[in-house]
Amino acid sequence: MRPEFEAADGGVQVDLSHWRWVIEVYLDDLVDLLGPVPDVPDHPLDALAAAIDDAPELPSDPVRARLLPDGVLDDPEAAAEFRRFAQTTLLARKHADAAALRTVAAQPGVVDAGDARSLLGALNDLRLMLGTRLGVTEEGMPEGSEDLQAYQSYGLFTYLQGELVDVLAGR
Amino acid sequence: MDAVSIAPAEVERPETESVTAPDVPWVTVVWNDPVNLMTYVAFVFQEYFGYDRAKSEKLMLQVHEEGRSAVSNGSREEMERDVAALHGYGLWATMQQDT
Repeated sequence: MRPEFEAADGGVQVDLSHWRWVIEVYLDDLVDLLGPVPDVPDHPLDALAAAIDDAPELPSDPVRARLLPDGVLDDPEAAAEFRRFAQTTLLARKHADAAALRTVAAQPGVVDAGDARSLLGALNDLRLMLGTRLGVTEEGMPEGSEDLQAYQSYGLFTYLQGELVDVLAGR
Repeated sequence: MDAVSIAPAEVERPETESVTAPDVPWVTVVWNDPVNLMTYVAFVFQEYFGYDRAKSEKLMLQVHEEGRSAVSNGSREEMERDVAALHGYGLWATMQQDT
C-alpha cells in the first residue's frame, strides 16, 4: 500500500481508497449532525433580517457544541452576537470540508494546498465528533469503550490527520 | 457594538448599557482540548497567523501545559475574525478584553 499522503508537484498526493468506507460512514454521521447547509444570503439586508430572526444558541448536543463553540465566555449576549455573525459561515465551511474529504476518498489524486487544508479540517471535525462521543480526556481514551468501531476509527483519523500535518509542515 | 458587517449591533444595544473601555485591547485565547493534535495546533498558528515555527510551537505548548494561551491581540473586530477563523480550523478559541 502506498502512503496516504505524499508531497507532490502542486500539492499533496492523496490515496485514501483503503479507508473510503469508514470515512464515508462517519462523514454521513458528521453531515447529519451539522444539519442542512445554510443559505448564505446574497444581500446584506437579507443577512441582517436573518440575523434578527434567528439568534442561535450554544447547541445542547455536546458534539455539536464542540463543533460550533461559543466565541465569548461568560457573556451570553456577546456570545449570541458572535454566533449570529459567525455561525452560518462556520457551518458552510464544515460542510465544504466534509465534501472535499468525501471527493478525495472516492478518487485518489493530487490536491492543492487549499484542498489539503479542507481535508485537515474535515479529519479534525471527525476526530472532534468521535473524541467527544468517546469521552477522550488528556489521559487518553477511556478503557472498554462499547463502540469498538468508533474507537478504532478515532485512532485511524488521528493517524491520518497527523500524517497530513507532517506532509504540509514539511516534517 | 461595532461588530463586523451583518450584526445588528446598534439597533439592539440598550441605551443605558455602559461601553467598556474602548481603548483596552482584545485578545484571542485558545483553550486546551484533549482531542486536537499538538502538531495540528502548531500548524494552525503557523498557517493562519504566519508565526514562525518556534513561536507557534511555544504557543501550542502553552495551551497544552497551562490550559490556555493568548495567541493574538487587537481590535474587537480583528479578534472576532481570528476567533471565527480558529473555529473554522476546529480549535476552541474565545475573545475577551485584555484586563
